[in-house]
Amino acid sequence: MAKGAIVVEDRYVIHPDRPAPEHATPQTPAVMADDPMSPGEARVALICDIEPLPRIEVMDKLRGLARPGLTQIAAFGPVDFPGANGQRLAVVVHPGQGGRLVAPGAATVPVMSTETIFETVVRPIVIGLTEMFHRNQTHRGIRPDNIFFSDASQTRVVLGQSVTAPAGYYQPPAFETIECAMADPEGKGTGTRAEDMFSLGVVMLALCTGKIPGAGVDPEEMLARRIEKGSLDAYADAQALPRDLIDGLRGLLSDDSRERWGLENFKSWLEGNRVGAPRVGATIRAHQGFDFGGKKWWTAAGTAMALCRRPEQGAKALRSGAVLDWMKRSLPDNIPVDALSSVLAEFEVSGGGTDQMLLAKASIAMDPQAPIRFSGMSVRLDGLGSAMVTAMRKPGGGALFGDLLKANLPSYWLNSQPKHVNRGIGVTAHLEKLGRWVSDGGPGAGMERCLYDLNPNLPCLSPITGGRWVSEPSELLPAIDAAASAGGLSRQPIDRHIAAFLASRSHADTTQLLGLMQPQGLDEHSAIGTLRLLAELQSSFKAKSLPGLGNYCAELLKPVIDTFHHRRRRGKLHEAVMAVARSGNLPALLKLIDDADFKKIDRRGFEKARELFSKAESDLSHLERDAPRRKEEARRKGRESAALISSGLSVVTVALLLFLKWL
Amino acid sequence: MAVIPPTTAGPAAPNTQAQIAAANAKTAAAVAAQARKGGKSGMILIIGLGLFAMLAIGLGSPSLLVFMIIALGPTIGAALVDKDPEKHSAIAVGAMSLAAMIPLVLAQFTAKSGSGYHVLRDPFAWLSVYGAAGVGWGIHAAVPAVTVMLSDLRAEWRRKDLLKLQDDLVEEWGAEVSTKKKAEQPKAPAGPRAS
Repeated sequence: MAKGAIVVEDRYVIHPDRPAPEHATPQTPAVMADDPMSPGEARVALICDIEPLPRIEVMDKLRGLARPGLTQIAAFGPVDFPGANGQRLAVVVHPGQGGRLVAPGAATVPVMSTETIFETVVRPIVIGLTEMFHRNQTHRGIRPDNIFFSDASQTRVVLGQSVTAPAGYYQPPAFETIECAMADPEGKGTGTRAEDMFSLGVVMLALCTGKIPGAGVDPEEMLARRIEKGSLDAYADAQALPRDLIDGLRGLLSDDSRERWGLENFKSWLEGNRVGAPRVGATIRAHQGFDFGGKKWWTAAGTAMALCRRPEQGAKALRSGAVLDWMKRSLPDNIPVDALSSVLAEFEVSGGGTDQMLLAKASIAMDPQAPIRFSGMSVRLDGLGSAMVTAMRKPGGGALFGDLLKANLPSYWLNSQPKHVNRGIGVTAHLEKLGRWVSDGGPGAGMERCLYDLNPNLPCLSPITGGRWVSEPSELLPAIDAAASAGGLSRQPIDRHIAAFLASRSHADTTQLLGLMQPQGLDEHSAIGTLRLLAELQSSFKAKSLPGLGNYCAELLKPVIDTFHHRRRRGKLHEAVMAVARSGNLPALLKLIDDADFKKIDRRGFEKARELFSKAESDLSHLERDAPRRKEEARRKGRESAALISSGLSVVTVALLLFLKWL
Repeated sequence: MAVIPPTTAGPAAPNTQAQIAAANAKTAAAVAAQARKGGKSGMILIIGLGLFAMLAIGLGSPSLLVFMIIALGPTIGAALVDKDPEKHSAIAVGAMSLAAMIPLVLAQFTAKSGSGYHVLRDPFAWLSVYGAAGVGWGIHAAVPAVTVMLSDLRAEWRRKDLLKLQDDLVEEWGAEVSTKKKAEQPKAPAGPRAS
């Protein structure tokens, strides 16, 4: 393997100079790749950015899965792609050999016989979907231009990959259920198997009519037709469809997900068994149409969509009571009427509220299954994560999304769903948490926390990681270490993104995160807390030596070292800290600096030294102060001594003289 | 009637120059008073005994009494000049004067009656007596100076020892050992949460 080659999973060699545009998508370039273990077999590498967010969880489940009807994902991993600002995620796939079924954006498809549709297209796709559903994954990219012939003779097809963007991202609205078609491309959500079955139905319809449904028609207009007539009737004249396909199409294109055929029903029908087709035309229409935006609307869902598309007029119509009056008067179903009454009453009581909030809640009340529509965004609950990634990258988008979460619209949406909708265990609690986090400015919270919590596979978006694709906390430390080694780590070792990433993925303590985020106000306790967090991460994830971070921590710990009083001991500690820091062993560094006994000995010694110094100071002061008294005392003693000496001398002299005289 | 609140501080060490001076004066006064009390009775005793001896001797020989009174002139002068209640100067001068005087007085007593020797007319006697008084004065002047010098020397050694101890402590523990700043440094505030 050539030095400097771009390699994925130590096996697949990517060739950035050999583009493969036939496999590219508008936002995902494709280049040729080689598998040294299978020379001669073509491989394609799809180069993904963070936005649109790739479906890593699906890649993970499908990696290495070689089944008919599915494009095999050979490998994926971060690479340094030339010309890219930072790392990219390369997905290596086994491409189909016979090209696409139709070119992207085509309005027509080659008409196929029912037999050909079944054998060439439907059966391989069913096999592929069976494999995906077995792994609890949805494809969400079933459309004619994402179907490839697996062989050069074009006898069988495979589904193209759908992992380089959020679920349904590239799907034209016509290939999506009404609820998904209403959502923004990045906010359609993972969906369920029912969404894939619907897309398969539209593919079958396109192949038997030779036309892409909805091609050449305004998407809004087509959506309105689908809402009011039902998708199948909006797409084609059911009477003109082949009789041997009509039941299958009715089964798959039902707009009611409860009635839509699942894979088992469809397989059964394919094998010639009789399967009950759902009722058609179940849409609840009003007795009278509602005039809005120059058009008459006959359903609550259609009206809600129209109101949201023209927010100013929509809010006015809602506040005037015209919409509610129309619904009361013309709709046979009381449920949306009651729900809308509650919303309007709430807004009246609370003194207004914004038009956007009114529209969001009113549209949920009128059409609970539609996406959350707020300030021009349209997002399904399970698409919140990928939609947030896109929103955060748009100017002002993050704030708008924050408003959506702060208003707890996701919870409101969930609580408005009909009883048959599976709300999931803990979903409500999770949504409430999002609302709390988004209002919390602390580390490990905020918008960033919501972002990482909603997107478990989103790599860390912090610029501190130096553009590395860091999707696991274990990868974070080496990335920060590399940034620190390159001198790219400023005074702040982590930012809000890293704090939120760690809080979400490793349940890090927010106090420690605060310490990491505010080193300028770092006291010794926080500095050790910071080191403890990093050391715990290094231990937990068995990260290799981190000399860059070690040196960074050594700098951070200087004030802590300075708290040791004994100069020589402090100097030795500093040397030891620097040596351990260079080795990159953060737990050892922590052990060295956070030694309670050592601190205690130092503190006691210092206190004793201070006492001694203070005593010496006092003695010196006393010496100076007491000098006159001391001198006076010395003088007095001197005088006494003089008297004694004189007396002694006198006695001795007299005795001596007497002795000499009378001896 | 205004009530003066009791002071909360205990008998702390004097901390102003005035207080220091007052305390010194108080201590010195106390020492002096004690010395005065003890010294006075001793002095009276010595003077009493001296007068008794002089009178005893003088009753036998008035000229000898005159000699003794004149010979003790420097002692009396010292006692009058010395403001020290213990009259150390008088003791020092007196002791030396007595040392010179006693052999002379004894010589006078034991002189043969026809010898014509009289101590009053002996210049050597006067020289001895006043010389001895001078030596006494010398001792009284020199010894206190020496004791003060020795005391100063000891104080200087102690000061140097203390300064060296402080230098060693600073060398070992840093300048913080001499101040409370570091030990009592408040923890840095956590600061506002980043927005």
